[in-house]
Amino acid sequence: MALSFLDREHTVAKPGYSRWLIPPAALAIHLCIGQAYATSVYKNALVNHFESSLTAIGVIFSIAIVMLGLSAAVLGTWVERAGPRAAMFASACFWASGFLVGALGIATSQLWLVYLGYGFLGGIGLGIGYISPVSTLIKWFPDRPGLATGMAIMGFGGGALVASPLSRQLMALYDSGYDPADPTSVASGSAVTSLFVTLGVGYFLVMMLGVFTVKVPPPGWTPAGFDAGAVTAKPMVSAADVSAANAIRTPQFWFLWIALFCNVTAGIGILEQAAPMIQDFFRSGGMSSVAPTTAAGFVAFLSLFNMAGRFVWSSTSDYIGRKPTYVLYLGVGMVLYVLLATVGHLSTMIFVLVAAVIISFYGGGFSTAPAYLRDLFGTFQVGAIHGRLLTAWSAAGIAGPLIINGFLDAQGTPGELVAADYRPALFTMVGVLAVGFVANILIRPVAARFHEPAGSAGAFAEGKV
Amino acid sequence: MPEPTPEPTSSQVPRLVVTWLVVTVPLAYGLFQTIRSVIPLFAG
Repeated sequence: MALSFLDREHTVAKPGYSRWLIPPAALAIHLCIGQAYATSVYKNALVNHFESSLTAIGVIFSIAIVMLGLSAAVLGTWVERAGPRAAMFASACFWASGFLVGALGIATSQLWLVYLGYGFLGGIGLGIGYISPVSTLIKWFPDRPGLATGMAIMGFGGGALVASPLSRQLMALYDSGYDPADPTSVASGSAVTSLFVTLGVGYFLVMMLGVFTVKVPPPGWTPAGFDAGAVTAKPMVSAADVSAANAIRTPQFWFLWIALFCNVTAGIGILEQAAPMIQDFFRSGGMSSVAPTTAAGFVAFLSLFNMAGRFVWSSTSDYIGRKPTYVLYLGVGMVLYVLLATVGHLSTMIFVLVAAVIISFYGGGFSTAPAYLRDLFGTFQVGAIHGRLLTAWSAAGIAGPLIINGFLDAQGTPGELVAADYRPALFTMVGVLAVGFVANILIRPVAARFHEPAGSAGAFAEGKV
Repeated sequence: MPEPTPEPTSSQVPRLVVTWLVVTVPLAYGLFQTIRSVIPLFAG
């Protein structure tokens, strides 16, 4: 069959295959789907083109994120069974077709087609793509799972860093009246149509690099000098395997779900509000001392820390352990939120640095989670379990903005808020982080009754069951 | 099942270079552009 090269059995690496080819294969996927964080670049252009509201255009992104969580949770077991190559190929097809259907929707002024394309189809591509390399990376890097998943998930943060300036430059190419340097300039609908077609084709080609490069290690493979006993001898690292169906029956899964949910909710609280927040914190007599260009620089600074945190903290967790790393995110996070609320208004440097470290913890929470799952549930169906865990992200995507916007709406009107108006929201986030901190502390090794019988996990991985 | 033929490590070097370049060049472009937009934050 023409597509048989996608099958798991055709992706088993020959002896000697370099495992350092796997991280760029994973990055090729995550750098492309990370574009999802750069939708604000053409948001105003779509509002103008469809003559609709920001809320109606924002629904496109919301559908995509909901579909990310749902498809990762529902299709996780298929991703595990079919293998990384088939999953990456499916992700590339959904992601690229999402852009092309979205482009058709913009060209024909049919907003529902953009919902269906970028939101629904693209969202499925996001979900499959996000989890597709995780299990494979963990199997190739049993000695450094945090480093490996950190590299891939850093790519998701890096995807927005690439897509934002690239989209601006492409829209300027397609619309001579659009000035990418002017924040008030808005591109035409036809420029966004051409942008969507370009991104759809370009991303498909880059993702094919991942498809044709990724391979799974042969059964029983370990890196040279690797001592499995030394890894499983560490506290909180299991040598046993747990299926995805059993994992969601364990308290450990739900404690980690709560910890991730709380960490993401708190981070989104700042990310969602970053630009107006820095201006409001340094407002006096109705005027802010922070210019809009400086506020935009603050948002870019946070995106750098979001990306760097994914790599640095996840890699660090290989040495200090996953549970202590989450203690850092949630415990130090609480202290930083208190600092932000109490002394953040005293100096822009204090405000910027504290917020940047908080956002690095937000990013780190995402990239450390797959390695934490590996430690608790083994490598057997870690991708599928990760897919189910990502529903915490979808839930936090609703809770975080609701908390911060709810408090700010009660305090006053946008453009007139000051630092004190943020305190109730920030102290609420301290409480949210405290809940996550307790949930993380309660995580213990998984009970033996949930473990797979010896041999069954290997048979599944080889497609025999 | 026959033992698969090992892949010679030296033949993988060009592939390693190309695959890493495909992902690091766009990432470097994104980083450069982002750092440029961060400058106003510290210029004031």
